[in-house]
Amino acid sequence: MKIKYCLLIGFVMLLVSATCISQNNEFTKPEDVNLIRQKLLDHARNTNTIESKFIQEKHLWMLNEVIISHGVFLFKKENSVRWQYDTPIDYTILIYNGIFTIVNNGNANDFDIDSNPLFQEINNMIVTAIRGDFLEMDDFGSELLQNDDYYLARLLPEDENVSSMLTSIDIYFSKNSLDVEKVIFYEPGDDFTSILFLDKKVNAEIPDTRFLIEQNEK
Amino acid sequence: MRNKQFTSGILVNTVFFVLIMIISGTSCSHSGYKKLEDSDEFSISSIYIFGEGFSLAKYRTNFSFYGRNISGITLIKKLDNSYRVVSMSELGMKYFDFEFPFDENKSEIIHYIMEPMNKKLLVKMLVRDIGMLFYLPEVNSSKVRISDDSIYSLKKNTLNYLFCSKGQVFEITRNSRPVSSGKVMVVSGKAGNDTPVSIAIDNGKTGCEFDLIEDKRSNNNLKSL
Repeated sequence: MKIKYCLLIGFVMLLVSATCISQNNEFTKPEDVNLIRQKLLDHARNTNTIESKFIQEKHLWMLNEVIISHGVFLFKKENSVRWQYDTPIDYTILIYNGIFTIVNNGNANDFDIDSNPLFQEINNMIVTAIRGDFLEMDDFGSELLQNDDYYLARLLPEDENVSSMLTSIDIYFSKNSLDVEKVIFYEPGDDFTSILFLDKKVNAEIPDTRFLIEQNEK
Repeated sequence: MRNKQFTSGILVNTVFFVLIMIISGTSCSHSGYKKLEDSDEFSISSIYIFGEGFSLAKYRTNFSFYGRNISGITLIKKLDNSYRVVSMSELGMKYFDFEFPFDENKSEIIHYIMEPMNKKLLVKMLVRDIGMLFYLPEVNSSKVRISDDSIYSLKKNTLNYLFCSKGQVFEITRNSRPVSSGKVMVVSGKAGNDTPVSIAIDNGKTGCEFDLIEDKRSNNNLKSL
């Protein structure tokens, strides 16, 4: 059950990243929080598809090491998702038509979302996130900040199990495009994971077949 | 349907793995070995899994705990006075962070373990099993045995170590009595290489499999990062 919890946290990391850079120019609280929130919500509602490459960096502070992963992310409304790691390992998560599929090194495992509370929860999170309701996620407190270039939504876990694994999630929205450009997951002990989205295409046509297992994954 | 296939897949994999364990356990059992004789040339002073030149390795990893499976990436790094082992999911979420001092008299350090895995028995098994990679017995030639095909065997307590002429250990078997149940570690690597290419540990309750992604010391990239 608790392992499922971890999967859930992992997926929160993935999800928040997906549907959403770090500069140290100072972030301050904006005066018009509700207005900004509404802008982000409206933008999310007008986003039907997203196609993006991503670079994930796992920073291990004590070891002075960074593990870098590259991959591709696809999203199509209402809740079709492809989260695919290409390097250093082959690993893909697919969500399509009520089925959650993990393809690990060529081995595919399907899970019926309706029959599994964990995947139901993940599904609910997708819907929430895609609606742009990052600041309204269950089990997370939140604050909205800004600097010259970015809006920063900072999510602070309130659940003990979650906070033992994550201290905060920082989501950076471009002020120009209102797209999420980078997400950072901070862990207890100064390690963190950042996910940077590149070559992002919004509202381009994505065929449903992209959310199915590809021939070379079977 | 898929779930059935998944379950069947796990079953097949498990059966396959156990068969390999039993076969390898049988083929390398202590009984086929004899004591070293004066005519046997033996100059190994120490045995190893990670050699002197080892610095850092990244492994694709699969863990199984009581039938549950999780996967990810494990980083093993040699520090000044210890080995550090950090495992994490593909998504970057850390599972655990252990440190194994070179000095066997010092305790292992658990820097972090994810709360759902923080069960006394599970932690104990993980630390013990992974620690086997780093804590190898001293070589006493009077206790070393040799097979017809020049595989060496050394027994310490309940563990039996098989190694090649360069001292590289490729299998560890636990002889549990009254049942010798083939709980083993199988290590594969290129002879003379300081970093194992794959490691499989199965203690019957938990299992770990490590497949090398990158070996920094030798710059032996099996897959680009």
